[in-house]
Amino acid sequence: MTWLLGSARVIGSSHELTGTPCQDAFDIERSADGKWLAVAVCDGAGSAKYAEAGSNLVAKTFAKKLILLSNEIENRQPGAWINDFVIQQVLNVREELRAAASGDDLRDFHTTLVAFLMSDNGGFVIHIGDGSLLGGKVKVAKDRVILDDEIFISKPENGEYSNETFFITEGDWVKHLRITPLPPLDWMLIGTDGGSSFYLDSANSPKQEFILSFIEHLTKCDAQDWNATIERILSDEQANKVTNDDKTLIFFLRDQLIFDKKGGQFSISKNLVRPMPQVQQRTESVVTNQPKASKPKKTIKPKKNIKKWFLLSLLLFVIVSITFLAIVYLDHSLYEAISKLIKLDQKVPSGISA
Amino acid sequence: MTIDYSDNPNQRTPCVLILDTSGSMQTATSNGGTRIGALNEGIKLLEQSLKEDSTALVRVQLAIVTAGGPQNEADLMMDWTDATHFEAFPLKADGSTPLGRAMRIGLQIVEQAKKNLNQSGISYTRPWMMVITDGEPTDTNEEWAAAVRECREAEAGRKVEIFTIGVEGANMSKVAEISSKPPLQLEGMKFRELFVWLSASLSAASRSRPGDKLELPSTDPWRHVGI
Repeated sequence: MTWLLGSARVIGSSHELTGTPCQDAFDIERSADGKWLAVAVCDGAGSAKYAEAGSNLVAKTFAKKLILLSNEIENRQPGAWINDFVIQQVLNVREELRAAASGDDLRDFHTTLVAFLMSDNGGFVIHIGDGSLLGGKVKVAKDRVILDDEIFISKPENGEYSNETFFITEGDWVKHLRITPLPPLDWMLIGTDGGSSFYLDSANSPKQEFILSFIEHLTKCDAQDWNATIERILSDEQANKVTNDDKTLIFFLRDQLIFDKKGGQFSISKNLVRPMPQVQQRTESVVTNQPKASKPKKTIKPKKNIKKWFLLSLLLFVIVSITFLAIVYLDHSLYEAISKLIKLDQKVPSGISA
Repeated sequence: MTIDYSDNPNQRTPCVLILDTSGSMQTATSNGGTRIGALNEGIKLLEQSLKEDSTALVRVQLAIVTAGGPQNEADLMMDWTDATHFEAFPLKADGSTPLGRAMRIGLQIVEQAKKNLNQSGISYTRPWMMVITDGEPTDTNEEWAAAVRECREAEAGRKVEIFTIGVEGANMSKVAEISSKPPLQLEGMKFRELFVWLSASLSAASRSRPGDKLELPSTDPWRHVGI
């Protein structure tokens, strides 16, 4: 798998004002064979004393552990063992946090977690609390790239109140752990709460305009400049109006799309993107829901393409007609036979009248 | 009640004011006014401060329930109104203090507000209920006990954040029953300072993000510090 990626982490204006450090953290790991990608993104709670340390430790540990799973996942049917593995990793990282806290109380290290492990054939997402992951497929047409309207989304989980969320560091973390199968995707956006506010609206629906112009903008830049470009977008004066929180945003794109279109017109058809349905699969019970890492369940069937059917039948009709005419004109005997038939047919009424 | 949220999809911070408008609020103050006059002035200042704050303006929602007044009843004087549409109106003081009944109305409309916001797909922070009284509830003992129990339960269930303010003359031990947080006593007739604080606090609450610790402004400008 060759993915192009850009990432940035920018301190929120409110944290700058109060002199608190950026409490977002992320880590990106690739397997040695390059087929697997593991990413972990963490948002430390503003109220937690060592939120920065907490989010760093969880992000680094998780991404590294996840990438170790890639060997095993290739040789084993996906199943509940993946859930067990994830739960074990959360337990391990909580143990590490306890060591850092020198005690049982982890509230000073409160952090959320969004992480995934994926290959070309899909993978799975692990999610506790807010932050989000979005992704979709892309159709490459002759002169443009069209974003598919089927969007995968792992939504933020807030409590009843929008200023509350859940942390991996809480006692009841297991109630909020979501493990969701990830379908094969062509592009992905992953962000902390602050980063998500750029591409998700207040109802947690994708902001289409932003996503389209963001992808379009990045594909016009050299992929080497993506980090800087994303950082510029997040640091913009306007960005502070979107959120005053720390913001992390990571973008992935299958490089094939860029190579195919290099030098060509790269555009995105906005008309073809219909309102995106919400495709979240919530793992209510981690144990009973088995992630199907390599065979993700399709949740939405694409609409039937009426135009395509119409064109197909028209083509079939034309072929049949041409064949018929060709036979008629080429095969003289058949022509005669038909002529006779017609003549015979014409003679009948005259015969009767005679 | 239906509110059209289509023009303002911002998250909301609802706050219901439970105001004592009983006869005792007619008591003259040292500067020649009355308590109710000072309260009305404070509410006017609340409107002003909220409207000067571009975030609070679109996020804070207010409702007012009075205890007493010319009707001598617990009344929903103003149903949920976005700060941007809020216009202060003068309250009249008279009659007794059915504070317990007023608090129960407050709890009911808090739940109603959540229901309406949920149905409209609008997120919200925890609603606030601020109780301000200068006297002693005139509900029956049973009514008062039931109201206090409901308040405590709602508070423990994290359904609402309750603040209690006693104005000079209030029976503070009764006020203390309402919430697990100790009641604060208003210094003199500093209603203006109190409502400026409320506006700033609601603004902070309406801005808060997940995981943030809500830092409220200091209550020093209006709080009476006992000996």
